[in-house]
Amino acid sequence: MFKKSLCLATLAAGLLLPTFGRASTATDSADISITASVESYFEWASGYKASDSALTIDKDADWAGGTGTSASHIGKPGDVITTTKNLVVHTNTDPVFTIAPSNATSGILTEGGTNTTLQTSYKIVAGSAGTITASVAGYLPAETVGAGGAFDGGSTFTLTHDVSGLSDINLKVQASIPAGITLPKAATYSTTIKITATWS
Amino acid sequence: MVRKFILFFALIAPLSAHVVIGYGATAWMGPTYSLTLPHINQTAQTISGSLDIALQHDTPCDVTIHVLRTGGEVLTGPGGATIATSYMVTGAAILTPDADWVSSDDFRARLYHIKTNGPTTDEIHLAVRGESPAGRALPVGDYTTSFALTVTW
Repeated sequence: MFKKSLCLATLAAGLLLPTFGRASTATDSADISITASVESYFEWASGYKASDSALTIDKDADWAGGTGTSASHIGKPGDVITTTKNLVVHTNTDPVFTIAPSNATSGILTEGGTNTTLQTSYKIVAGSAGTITASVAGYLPAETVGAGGAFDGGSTFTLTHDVSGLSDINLKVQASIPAGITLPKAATYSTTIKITATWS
Repeated sequence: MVRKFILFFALIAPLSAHVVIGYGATAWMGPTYSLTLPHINQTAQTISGSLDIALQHDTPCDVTIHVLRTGGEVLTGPGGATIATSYMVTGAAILTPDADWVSSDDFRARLYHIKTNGPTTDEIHLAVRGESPAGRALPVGDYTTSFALTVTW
């Protein structure tokens, strides 16, 4: 009798146990691994891209230091006018900037009718984010051909980018009456340059 | 003799039942899955990719997301930099598949109910999208997620 009861109890337990097993919560996990890689890249901020409007330094609004009818105009021999244009860049690398002329004026401020020129110099310095290391200190004359000239291949400006990925640089231009000329033609002088960034 | 046979059957029955339930159980077929997205090399760039994940099951079940580190559902790289990450989970077996991209925050809280009874193997399509920011560059390097899909039944 006892054995029969034991058998029935065991049998009942055997039948019920799977039911209990199914009623409990079970889980299984799959690990998902997703990877994306970011490469080195550089972009001029909107407005400075080749496909957008070119950066313009205005003859009246942007220059300072002169003694003419306004501080933006050269008014007498010895006046040196300068301008600073801020250029914002998006980069996660350290690009090297070079400057080059991009029209027939050879990067020298030129009066179109007579080809009279102003002494013109350039440099690039750091803005508010990032630092610049120049291969040659100070303003680099556009008129100088070869080492020390603004457009010499060895005249470089290396940006150490800000870790935020947002940096800026300042293009500085200086203009004055060339030595030996006391009365340059009263006119508007212009030129065109391009700044190239190279990175790896 | 008959009693011994009954006793033997009673003892072996639970084990047999477990074996039957074990066969056709719910499980991921992976159980690990890897996806490498295209590289990012500019601002405001969108990249995407997808995985087909096979789930074997013998009952309706639920799929949830379990992050394996804080922010594990977000593509995270050097210095904790992140890529905006979104997901879209679809598949014929899902009761309410995503109709559009789901932000990583929302994705983490999602529950996908698998409506089919089975036993069967259903395919879940996990699409992932990353977007680089518009006004700055992301740090160079590899960005990864760390999460698991958990099926509960």
